[in-house]
Amino acid sequence: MKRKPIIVFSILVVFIVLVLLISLQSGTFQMTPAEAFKTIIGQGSDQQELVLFEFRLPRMVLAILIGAGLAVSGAILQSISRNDLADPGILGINAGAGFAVVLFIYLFQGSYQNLGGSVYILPMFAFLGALTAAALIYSLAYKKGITPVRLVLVGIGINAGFSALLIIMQLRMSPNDFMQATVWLSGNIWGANWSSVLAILPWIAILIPLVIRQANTLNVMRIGDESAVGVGISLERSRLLLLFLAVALAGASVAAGGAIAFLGLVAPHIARRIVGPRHQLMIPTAALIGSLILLFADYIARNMLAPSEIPVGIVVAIIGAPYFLYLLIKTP
Amino acid sequence: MKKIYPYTLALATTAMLLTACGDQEDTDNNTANGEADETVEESDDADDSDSEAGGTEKTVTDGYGNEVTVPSSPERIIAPYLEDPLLTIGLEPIVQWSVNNGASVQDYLADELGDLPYIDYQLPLESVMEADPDFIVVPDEGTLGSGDYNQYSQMAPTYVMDSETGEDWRATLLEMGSLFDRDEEAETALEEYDAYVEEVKQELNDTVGDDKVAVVWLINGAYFVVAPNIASGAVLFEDLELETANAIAELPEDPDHWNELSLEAFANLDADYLFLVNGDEDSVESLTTEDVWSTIPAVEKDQVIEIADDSSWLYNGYQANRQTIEEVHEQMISE
Repeated sequence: MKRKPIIVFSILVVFIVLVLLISLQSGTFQMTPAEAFKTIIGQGSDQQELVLFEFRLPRMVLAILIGAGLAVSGAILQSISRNDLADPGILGINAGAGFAVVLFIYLFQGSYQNLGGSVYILPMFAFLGALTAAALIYSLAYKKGITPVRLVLVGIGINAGFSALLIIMQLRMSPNDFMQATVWLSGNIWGANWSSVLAILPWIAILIPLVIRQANTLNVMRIGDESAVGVGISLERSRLLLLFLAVALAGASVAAGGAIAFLGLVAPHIARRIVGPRHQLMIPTAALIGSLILLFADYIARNMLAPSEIPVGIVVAIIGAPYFLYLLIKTP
Repeated sequence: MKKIYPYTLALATTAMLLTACGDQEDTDNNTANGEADETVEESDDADDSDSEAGGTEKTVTDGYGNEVTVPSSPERIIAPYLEDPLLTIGLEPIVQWSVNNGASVQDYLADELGDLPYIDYQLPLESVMEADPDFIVVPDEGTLGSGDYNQYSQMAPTYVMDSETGEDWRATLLEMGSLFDRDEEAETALEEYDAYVEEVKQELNDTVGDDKVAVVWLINGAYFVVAPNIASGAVLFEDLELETANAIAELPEDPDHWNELSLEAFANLDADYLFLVNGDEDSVESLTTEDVWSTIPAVEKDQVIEIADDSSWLYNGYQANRQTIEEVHEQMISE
């Protein structure tokens, strides 16, 4: 059931804009759609402008960026491992990034809110953590090449390992930090501001086009190693490069939004169903779907128990977990 | 008022995530507190602040180096988890700290805070905006849980105490006093508190002497002994100088605030007086039906005192400590 890509993209973008607008005008601070509109065109009160442009908008932009980052990261991992169950969360890459972030905060005794300039260093750190996890997975799973099943199994092991390390680290923290870390690790984009957006924007904006350039390689890889070798693709090198891109995307996303699980799994699947497996189309579609899901999940997270918030990662997991089980059952 | 881990509490209550983590929550409290208001009367503060502080605004540096402009007489104050000192210097906040939309509040201040609207412990940006404060003061930066400092300070001047001050209720009270130009109120409260402590200490000396005391908090089927430097522990053992029972005396140098006590430890507990802070009935029930229960000296002497879970015993602060002492006085001396 492939559809015209232009139409698919347009529909997704329209949905994203729609959810964005709905989300923008809902929240604890009451605002009618008319007021919100007036504020957007610059006619609102100071308060309304503050709420809209400083509180709500940055987190929505952040949701869009993180959603795209995780979705594309998942898409790459699924294709290079030829395993539909791969995603940065399940493989332990998110846990590696999360571990690095918590380590960073623990070592530098910063709080989770006012990290100051370190908001820009954090993605680097998360990336290093993600890279460590990926390197571990890759080397442990390597046995004259990588078989997809080994990759996933080793990944699950690494995930468990990093999660255990995280718990040890958290237990050494003060209870306040412990709680904050727990909430952060379950994935949340509270406290988003424009500097957190700026910190992750370059990663997403540069890396995703790079991935799309590799679409052909991904197409071939998905079919199988033999055919990849057959058409002259230097297999391990390309795989490493793509893995690197996936890890960088996941790392930056985790630094900004915590370990949001399942998004990287679900978005590429839906994308494949809509536009088929060709990565030239599948990657951008997955990115848009990832953005849409996270944006919507954030809307729920913000409003369901308002004025308290639920970590957005939990909302995503509630949607994503059943889908994951469904895939597990369907996978031969 | 010492901060007793509102996050821990909050999450435990909200998500039940944390039951196993040992340090735990502190919910609860309150007693109708009849007299803390001798020194303090909130009702007169609005006028007070006008007359006393009626001058100009001032600029101060907070615990994290932020330059904060304090309005000349702030009227719409948000001071989450600082309600105790704020009331003590005669001011009233516009909202009160709560978890889960009022599921947990500082019950011991119910008389003063009563039906003030709740503000979530994470201080959601939009709830703050909705409350429309003209001044925000928080005990540490972790309290600004839903955004960064700039986002809060764009709504109203925001003063963040350094966490060391925030953890020491006397220092907190004094800092609040100087922040709002009410140093005198803060100092008077401290003097008055010390005098009260002295008075009760004398009486306790006569009636209780060297009898050993322990405070145990029962919640979720676990028993926590309250460390001698926090909440009611600090009041009983540091201020009133009661003798600590072995379970407390044997705690490590820098103990956790709440320390889980095994049933075995109960078997050896040498407390002559045992205060049970009743977190929930089931936990009390399960402890009191254990075999070891009857071997505790306090039980043999019929000196077990149950403290309601909405009392001040898990908090620190001028109001909290006073209420705790009143209860001690009532239970250990008056009877």
